[in-house]
Amino acid sequence: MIRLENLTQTYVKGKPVFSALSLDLPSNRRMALLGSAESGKSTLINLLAGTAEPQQGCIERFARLSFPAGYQRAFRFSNTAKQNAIFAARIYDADPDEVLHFVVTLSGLGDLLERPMRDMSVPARLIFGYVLTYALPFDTYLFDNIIGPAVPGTRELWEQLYAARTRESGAIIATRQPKVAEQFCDCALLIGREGAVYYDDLKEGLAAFAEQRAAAPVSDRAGASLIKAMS
Amino acid sequence: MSETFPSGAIHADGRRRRSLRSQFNVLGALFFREAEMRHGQSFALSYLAAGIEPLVIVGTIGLLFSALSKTPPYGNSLLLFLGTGVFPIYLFIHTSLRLRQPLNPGLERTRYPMERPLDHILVHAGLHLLSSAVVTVLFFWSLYYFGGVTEAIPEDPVAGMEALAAILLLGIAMGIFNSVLARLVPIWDVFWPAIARASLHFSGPYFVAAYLPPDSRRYFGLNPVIHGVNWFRHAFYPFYPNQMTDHHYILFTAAALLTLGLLMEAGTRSLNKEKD
Repeated sequence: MIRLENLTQTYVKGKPVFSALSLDLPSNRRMALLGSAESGKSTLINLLAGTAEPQQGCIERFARLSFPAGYQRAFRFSNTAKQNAIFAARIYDADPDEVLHFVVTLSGLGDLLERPMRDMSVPARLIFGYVLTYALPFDTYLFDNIIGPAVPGTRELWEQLYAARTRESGAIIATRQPKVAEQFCDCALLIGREGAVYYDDLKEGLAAFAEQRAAAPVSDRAGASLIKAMS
Repeated sequence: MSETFPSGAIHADGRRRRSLRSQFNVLGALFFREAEMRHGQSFALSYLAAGIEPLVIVGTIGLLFSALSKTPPYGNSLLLFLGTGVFPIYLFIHTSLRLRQPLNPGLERTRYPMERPLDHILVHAGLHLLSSAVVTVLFFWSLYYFGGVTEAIPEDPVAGMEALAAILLLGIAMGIFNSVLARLVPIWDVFWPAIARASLHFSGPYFVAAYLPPDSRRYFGLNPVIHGVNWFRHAFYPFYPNQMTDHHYILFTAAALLTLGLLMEAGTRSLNKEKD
């Protein structure tokens, strides 16, 4: 279980993303984090992961939450990918040999893993980051929009990894695409202007989300606030 | 997909044991990575490279003193006297310099959420202690073995350890204080290395503090490092004049600086978040 207490987060003064949000979230379910563009989905993922500190209020985690999947900021680019994988494994209490074996067999990057990470191409880094995320044991995996990078030929791998990992662990996926939620989730948290509502049944959540979109169609487009400001 | 997933043994543990264990995991992982890395470059045991600086200082001052054909200010061996001063002073200088890194706002974002700034502080302090201990022991041992200086083996090793621990604590406190101050006044990052290295000459590496004229001795006594140096020298010279060896002064200064630094860090955290 994850308990949010009085969570308040503001980027622009007078327009809080969350104000005094108090919620209990399940950590062992596959939850979709639904909301329109700029509603605070990614913010909530970062807050849950601990990559951002809440400005007010607190988050109690009664489970081991992952970093946002594919997190690259902690990599040392002068070290090799293997060294980075070993470091992550040690920090998150997994067996480094097992993790290394997993990454080597599934990423298919071969000798690239032995070179300094700055030599890797961007797609290779993405693949490495996501495979490493799946390699580490967590109670709840956090995803921002995607369960794996859209590198050609890897789609099946991510779907298999996601299915295998969520058999025993939970997952939270921030998305605004009902299709993604339908495919990978079974419950939902809908973020709206008035706060967040938890739906134990995904279908109810999606219906409420569709209603919310119908009420404010413009705000759902990416960059909507920019278009509004220009016109 | 036939691969089995790596599993963590941690899930079987209770909650308290789990948090303690993950604390050790983070410290252990950081220790081994930082040991072979400095300034983003990795080469094996780079931390030991920091030990070259005090060696150079001892060498140059030793050369200068021999050229001026001065007798050692205390004891029989000039190099031993310089070494007992320069090594503890550099433990302070280097610790106070490098501990700015853990609280650096830019680097804070290049970490896993599990790594807290305090973990980095502990690891860097431990590495400094270890690397300077290795270089110091090597230096005194080779003085004894190759130079034939029998005094180089300390009479009272425990006092030497205590002195080094006090100096390390002072260095940690100063490092934390520096990193907080540097975030409020960024130019401090330029000033402090200069001040720290200049303070070498005021901490008594090549003179006996107790032999100073009483007027200036009062001002020299304000520098806590000089007390640590005298404390350390007591381990080697049992009859070293102890007029300026106030153990309480250095420990109290370290505790006060540490409290002030941590309080300031907590107090300016939200201010700094807004600044970023």
